[in-house]
Amino acid sequence: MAEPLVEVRDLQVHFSERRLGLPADPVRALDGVTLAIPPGQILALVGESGSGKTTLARAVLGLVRPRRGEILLDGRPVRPGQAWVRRRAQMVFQDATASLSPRVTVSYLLREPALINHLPTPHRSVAELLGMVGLPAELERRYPHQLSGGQARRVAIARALALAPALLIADEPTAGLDVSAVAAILQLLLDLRRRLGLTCLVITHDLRAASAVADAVAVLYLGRLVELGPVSEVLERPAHPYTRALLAAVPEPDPRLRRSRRLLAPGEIPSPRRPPPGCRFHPRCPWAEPRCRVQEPALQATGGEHQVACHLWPEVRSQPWPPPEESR
Amino acid sequence: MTALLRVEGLEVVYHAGGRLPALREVDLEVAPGEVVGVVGESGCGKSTLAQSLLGLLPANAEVTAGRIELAGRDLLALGEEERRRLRGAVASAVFQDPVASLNPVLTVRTQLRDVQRAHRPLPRQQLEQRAVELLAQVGIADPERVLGRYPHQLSGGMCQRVMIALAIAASPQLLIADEPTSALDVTIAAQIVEVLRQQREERGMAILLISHDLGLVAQLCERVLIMYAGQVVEEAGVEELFARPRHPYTQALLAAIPSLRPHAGLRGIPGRVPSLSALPPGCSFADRCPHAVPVCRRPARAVKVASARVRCHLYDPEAGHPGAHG
Amino acid sequence: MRAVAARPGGRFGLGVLVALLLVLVLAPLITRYPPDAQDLARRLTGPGLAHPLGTDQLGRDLWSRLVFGTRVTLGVAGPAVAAALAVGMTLGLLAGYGSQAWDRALVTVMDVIQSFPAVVLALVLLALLGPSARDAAIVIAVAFIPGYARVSRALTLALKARPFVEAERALGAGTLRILVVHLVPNLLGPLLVLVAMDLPSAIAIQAGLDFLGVGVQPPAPSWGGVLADGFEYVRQSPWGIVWGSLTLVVVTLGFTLLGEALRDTLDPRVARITGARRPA
Repeated sequence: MAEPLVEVRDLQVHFSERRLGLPADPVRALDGVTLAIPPGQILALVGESGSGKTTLARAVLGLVRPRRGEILLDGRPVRPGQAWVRRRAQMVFQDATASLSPRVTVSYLLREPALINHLPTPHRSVAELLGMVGLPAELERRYPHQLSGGQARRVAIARALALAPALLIADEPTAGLDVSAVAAILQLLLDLRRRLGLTCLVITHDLRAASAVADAVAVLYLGRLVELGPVSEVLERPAHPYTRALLAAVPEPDPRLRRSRRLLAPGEIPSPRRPPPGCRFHPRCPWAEPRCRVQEPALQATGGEHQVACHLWPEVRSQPWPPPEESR
Repeated sequence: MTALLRVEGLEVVYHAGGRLPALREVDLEVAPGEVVGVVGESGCGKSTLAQSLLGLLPANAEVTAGRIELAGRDLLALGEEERRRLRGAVASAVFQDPVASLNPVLTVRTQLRDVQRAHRPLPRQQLEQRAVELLAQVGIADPERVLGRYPHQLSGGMCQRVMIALAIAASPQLLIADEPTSALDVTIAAQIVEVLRQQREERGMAILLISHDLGLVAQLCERVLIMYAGQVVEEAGVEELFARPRHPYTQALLAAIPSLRPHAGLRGIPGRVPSLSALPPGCSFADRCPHAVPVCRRPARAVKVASARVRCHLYDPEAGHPGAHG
Repeated sequence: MRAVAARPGGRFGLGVLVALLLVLVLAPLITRYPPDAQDLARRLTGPGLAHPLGTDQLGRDLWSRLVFGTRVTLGVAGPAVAAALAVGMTLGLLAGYGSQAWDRALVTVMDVIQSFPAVVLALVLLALLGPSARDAAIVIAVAFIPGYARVSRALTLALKARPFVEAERALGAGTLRILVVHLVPNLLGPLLVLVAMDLPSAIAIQAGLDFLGVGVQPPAPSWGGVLADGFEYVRQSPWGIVWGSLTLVVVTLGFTLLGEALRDTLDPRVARITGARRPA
């Protein structure tokens, strides 16, 4: 594998709070995550609430300080507040409209990154940036509240591209979009990768979006990486019970296919303040054995580039996916 | 068999800088115990439809035509007091954001008790017992503990279960669920779907499910209506709709759902949903439709095709569309 | 602006504002006599051909005194409110955006200032500083600063949590840029409403101080001065009080209605920015 663009090594990010003057249980947003993204790859970071996926994105950009571990961008360690990071990595926030300053025009938003970073001439002009994301040039005179959700998202992407970063992090790029707009945004990401050689980290809970754009998928649960590998491996030969539960939970637009109830993960997602001991998924796992309650599984290779953190992965992986259909 | 809910020719207009037609010629029927889905994207009018059924339209909305009949009563003719009595007892609702839909300053116990008292006053002890039962029925493992909690102390999934418990407390005949899982995590949403399915089986309750998620609708519903720009463009049994989608919008919608199989390709729908203030004459979908011809500039009528209904010139033998199916 | 004019209250308020501005600018052109010109032969007359509003106890033209008094009164109240806005907004911004320690310190100071009724505060300070127009302006400004500081602080706190602030920081925007370019424009709208509401209060306080003799000093014309003189000689001629009061009432009412119209127009726009619901 070529020198990775982004490397995360044993990253731990905890958020501590004080309640009534006494330190409360910290939120263990990330508890030892290791992964690498080669240049030009689109990696989908998949997880639900409390998984830590947004925290990971912010850590890569140097917006949060890790408790332990390292982040390397182009082989250089990332530390909060460093200016060079901004030129290499940028993020598109989850709520695109709210991430655009309300009292300035689109034109200013797209020129500002160059101004802030003291570039004598911007890498890319406003017209160029708008064109890259498929928006008409006239939009530059509008204010964010005059844009539709899809347009705001594209403007946010255009802004992220203003400094010509090598890495683009998209936080839930399809959330809140109509089905017809989802395809367009995902296609845009693919086009940008093709034309600009952009590396993308796509954070999503939408497995369909992940399957459409990603080369590789990383599944996070409660701050730990449970499965990582090429998209065809993870989505078609899942080796972790949580991945299977996630796949089973996505409703299939075919009334003849009805996922069996026993495939669904029961119970609530625990709080990241008090993750279960041992394997964090064990309380909800149909395969759980006594040792899962005690010993936290490490990431192991299943052959090739597919890794999984489960004591029982051979058994899990041997179960066919999707399971034999049950008709209604 | 008389329909539990019958909507005929419903037209709703918003007064917001002009007259915005939010709903046009909407017909809908739900039989007792039936699960019907209404699917559409933003701007299609599905939320307006839900609000009309519950009598919860905002002040600047006006019903300009049509009838809404619930259990044989004309909803639009009823006064607020009578409508309140129907709410909860005959029809109740579950909404999108469960934490925001519950009263933040009252405990679950109080809210359950209030709902029950409004429709079936019982001594306190029995109310408490019923509350515990209701929570257990929606799959809450520890009802007594949850009863004492406030909504902000509960997770999204838990709150949605509480909402469902509140909605079924007075044993309504119809449950209107407006995007009940959109705000929830995927695995939790799947659990809620099971709760709805189970409750429906146990109580023989009808469900009107409003959603943008075709997958969700495929899993729960028996009949589906597809809405676009305020009109119903297709209505069919669920298997029929997914196996043989007729309206070009339905076809495009189904094709646009990204597959779970990797690298299966992306197919969007060109163009955008027309703004309500600038609806094109004739068929609202025409400028995005691959089959559009000049005749589509005239409004399409809803025609019966086999066991389905489609609003499209392609299926209307009298419309004169060159590609028309018999 | 158009929406404000659409409301009847707004129209009246705008009318008053425009009239005042015209009077301010055209003062020498619309008066026949200078405000200090005394005509002892015609003291305390009522409205007549020579003096449209009458004269005061020294024979000075009441109309002229009121017209030039506009310059004086607004010249104190206007800058006072403007200064309060500038200082208050800055303090509020710093309190909201800065560290907790800053916040607590500023809020305490504001609380102390606000615990004194404005007029009492003004009197005390002027007694210490000596009566003068300039000091009156300073004193009024100080009394109004906490209002702007509070609103700015609350808005800043709310805005600080919004994603766009984090997004700007991710791009590398420094604190100054965020405050000036991204936060201040969002504050100006609501603060403008406050200005429109505060101006009448400022004018009233100003007039009160002048009336008591601790603000603008005679013989400089001022509305409060006209009222004071009219009060003293009311038995001979009521017109000083009549015209003085009428002026104050009209101006105060006008600005208050303008402020309300501004606030009403601003609400839907604020709602749109925060993403309120439209038909779906």
